[in-house]
Amino acid sequence: MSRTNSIRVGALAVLAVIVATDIGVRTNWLGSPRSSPGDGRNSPTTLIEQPQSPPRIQFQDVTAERGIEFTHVVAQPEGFYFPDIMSAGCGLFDLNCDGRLDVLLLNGSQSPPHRLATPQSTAPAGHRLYRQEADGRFTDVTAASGLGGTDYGVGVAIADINNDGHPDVYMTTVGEDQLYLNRRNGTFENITQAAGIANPLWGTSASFVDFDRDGWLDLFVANYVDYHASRKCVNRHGREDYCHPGQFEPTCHKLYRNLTGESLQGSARAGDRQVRFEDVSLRAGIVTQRGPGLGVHCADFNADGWPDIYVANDSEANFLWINQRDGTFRDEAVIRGVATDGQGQPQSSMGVVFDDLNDDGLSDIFLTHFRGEPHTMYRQVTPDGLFADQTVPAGLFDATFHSTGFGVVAVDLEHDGDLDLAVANGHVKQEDGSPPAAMTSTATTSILFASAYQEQNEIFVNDGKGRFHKELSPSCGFRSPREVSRGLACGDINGDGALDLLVSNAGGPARLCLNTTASRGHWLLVRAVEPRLGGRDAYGAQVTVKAGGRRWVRVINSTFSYLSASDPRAHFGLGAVETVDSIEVRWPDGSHERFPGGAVDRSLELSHGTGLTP
Amino acid sequence: MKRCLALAVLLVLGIGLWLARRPNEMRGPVVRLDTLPAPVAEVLRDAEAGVRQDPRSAAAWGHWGMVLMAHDMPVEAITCLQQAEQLEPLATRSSTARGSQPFRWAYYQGMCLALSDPAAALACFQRAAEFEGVPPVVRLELAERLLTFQRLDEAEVQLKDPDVPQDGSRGDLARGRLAFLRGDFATSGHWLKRVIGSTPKNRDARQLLSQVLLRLEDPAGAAEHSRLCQELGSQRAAWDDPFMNAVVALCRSPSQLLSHAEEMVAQDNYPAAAETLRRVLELAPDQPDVLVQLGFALMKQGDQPAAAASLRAALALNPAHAEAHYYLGSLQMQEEKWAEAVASLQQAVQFKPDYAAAHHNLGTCLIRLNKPTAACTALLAAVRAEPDSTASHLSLAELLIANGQPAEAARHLEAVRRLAPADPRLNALLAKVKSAADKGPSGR
Repeated sequence: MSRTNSIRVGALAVLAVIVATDIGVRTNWLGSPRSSPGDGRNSPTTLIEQPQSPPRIQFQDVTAERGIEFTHVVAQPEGFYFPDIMSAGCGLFDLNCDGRLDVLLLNGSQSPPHRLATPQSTAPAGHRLYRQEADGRFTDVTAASGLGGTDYGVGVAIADINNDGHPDVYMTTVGEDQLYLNRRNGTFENITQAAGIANPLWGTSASFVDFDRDGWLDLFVANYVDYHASRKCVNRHGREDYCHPGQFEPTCHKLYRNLTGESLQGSARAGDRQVRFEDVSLRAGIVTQRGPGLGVHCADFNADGWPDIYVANDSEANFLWINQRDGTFRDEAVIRGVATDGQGQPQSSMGVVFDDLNDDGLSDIFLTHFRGEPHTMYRQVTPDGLFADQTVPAGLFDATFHSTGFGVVAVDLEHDGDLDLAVANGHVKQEDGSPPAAMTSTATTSILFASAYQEQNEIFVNDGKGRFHKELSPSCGFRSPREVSRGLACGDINGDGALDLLVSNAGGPARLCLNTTASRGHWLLVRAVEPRLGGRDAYGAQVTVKAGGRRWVRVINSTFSYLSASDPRAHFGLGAVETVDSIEVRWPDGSHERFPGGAVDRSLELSHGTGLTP
Repeated sequence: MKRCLALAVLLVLGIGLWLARRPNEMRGPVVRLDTLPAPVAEVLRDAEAGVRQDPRSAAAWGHWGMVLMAHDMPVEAITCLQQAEQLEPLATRSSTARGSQPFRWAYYQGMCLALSDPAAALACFQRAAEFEGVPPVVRLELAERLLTFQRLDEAEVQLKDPDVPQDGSRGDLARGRLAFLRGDFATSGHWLKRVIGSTPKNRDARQLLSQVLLRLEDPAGAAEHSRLCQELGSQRAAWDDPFMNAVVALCRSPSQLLSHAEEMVAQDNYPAAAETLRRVLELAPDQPDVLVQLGFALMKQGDQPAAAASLRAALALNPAHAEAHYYLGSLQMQEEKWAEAVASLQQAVQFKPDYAAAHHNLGTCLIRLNKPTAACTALLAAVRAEPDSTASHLSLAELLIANGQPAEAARHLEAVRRLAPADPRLNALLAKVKSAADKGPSGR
């Protein structure tokens, strides 16, 4: 071979090596692509956050500047006391009927009801009530209010139980639940025993609902599991961690019928000491099924005019108690397609909302779940309450797979006419297996929770067609700080027509988040009241706003989400619409009324009996 | 000359191919063995040694990946399984000939990713199913994943593959689900009824069938299947998967062995559960919970002395263990040592005040000790914590009748009538209540 030829052969060979190697790298011979398992998702480059356009949704954390200083205390972080990782809720309500929303925050306890073998936290505990003043700041009025108990608080439900126009408070606890009557002077009286309430189980979410349509709000309480504090659970590294609910037996839920009206001989208002409930769980059929209940949403799921009860169960099939209109309920979650996900898999259901998420006039169910299970969106496919798992078409399958969701609210954050979702996240397992530091104070408790269980809260923005995409807001836990969020309540805290959020964190500070989204559309905030029933909010009333050729349907309700109570008023984002054509209300007693429309960007109060009968 | 050139090119292409096939990075995952239980660390060390011994062995890498999977380390496992997939000999890559299972590594990667990245997991299952002659379990897994993503036509292709049996329950359930998602409820019902015909306890099939029947305007049938679902509880059909069984068999983790023991207890297989629990205690001694579970399993086997010893050992480690006190009380009840049982059960309810079963047993013991008032208190506490306890309501009713309180007894019998109307003791006690009521207050 000549020298020239040798060079040519050599060059060709080098080229061939390069080509062959390149082909091999790219194609992985014989059809087995050598992609990473995540198809790029797990590659290092995807760990770098891509530059984004500025988020449309903005929240501002005003907790400290508005005067709220609250840190949730866990009973025993080093002992992995199960209730610590599941608690606690929060409430937004107008305690003194001054038109401004006040804040109730539930706390853990230094003395949980289970005897614990190891020392407990010495951090201060107790629930906190903050009253909003005219300047928007909050004053801690716990001491005089009667709501500052040091029992182990879990969830809260708020409604006017004696039809005096003032909201009363029910707290679920690990141990005996508590019922507080609003004395109409800024204080509350504990009437638990006198009112016939007795729930010794680990209560979670509760909801007031007039299930028998007698004008008096009854009470549903979800209970979780029969917890044994002495039982210890370990993670994959053999180290102790919080237990899975499957380690314990699920418990029965409670339904209490409000008997107050029966002793009043026709009067629709009650005095302070006449409130009375009866445990009808057995008679109503509620105790025929046990489930580890967490979230509750009471609404008319089958459009028959009677309120039903949906219970989100943790790792077991959910319940949909359909009201049989005779004081009894039947669980129809399975046949209506809302017991499990579309694959028949029971999910770790935590928070729940029932709202029209795809703007078709029918309310849909959205449930938050454990990391590794997508949250589920059940779309209502027939107007009488049949549902189908539409998580994938809604764009929520991949988007919700990587976080553990608890509280959830469906609100139109930018007033563009469709409902968005805000989800409070926080894990329940130590994913990295790192052992927690020893705990001696609240500060170290926060460190444990922040390091081991923290997650980012999330906002899912609706594109108007029922498809959602995740959007980050730079503050208030929606990007940072990461916390162990649990409760989530919504309401218009500063009176600007936009719904704001209250977030409660396990072992961390509560956060008051004002919706400061810059470009918002028009809005309407509707309070529907029952003058005949003391002027209380008409829980269960369905409000339909017609404007600009569209219609929006919302329901007056306070309790959904997870362990939390929200402002019950119906909020409507109207987009560019500048005049409302009409407002229709289907009242809880089944009657319909139409009210005139008018200007947008205002709060209005509709009284039962003052509208036109259609 | 041309021949030389061609040979050189072929040679170089060969080298290129070899280089191409060589894994980019031969390093395995870094696992901190010092944080793991010793038996787990040992089996992982052995698996890693296998790779060091033969770094070009797909089987060695795959085994390491499987061991990592068995100990719940999916991220680390994927690294090994990727290497195994790339090192699989050319001859075995295109098919499952000669008993090889080259698809396994992609399949296992899919399983590892299933809980963290379902879309990536789907891609792995698709890659596994590209091999000719893959076992049905791979295609069925892929079909189910495709149904989750509502990629119905692709799922149908897998279900119609000649290798997938057309008469298996798992395939039938997937076909039923496919038809349901397409809105073809009659066809869906056909497949689902076939599943229930061969596996009547399949909750998933009954659940979907109840939805189908409601849409086919058969509400009674829908309600019946819904009721049967509730009876079946949350148990789901676990399809046999030999590939995942092979992974589970590699497990040496005490916590995971404990999970297996719990499953055995749930299946009433107490001897196997006791054996497994003893293994757990050998690996990780002095665990009160495990000792309590062992005590329970031994009690169920009828080995009361060993059960008592295990429970007492648990209490020595944790005197506040309510369940240990409860089971010890149960053992003492079996031996009719009522006073001792009362002491144990009182400890149980002291440490767990809402312990319904302990309150119930306490009430039973106090009846035996002829202390009706205290027994009534205990049984009331039991029904308060567990209002659906038929046994507590019945005991309470019996006690109240004997104590001349028929009206109160009737309330508890009404609860039984709602909870368990077919209970054989109900009618007899109702007759006693009626008799007592007929006698009036003087009958007290």
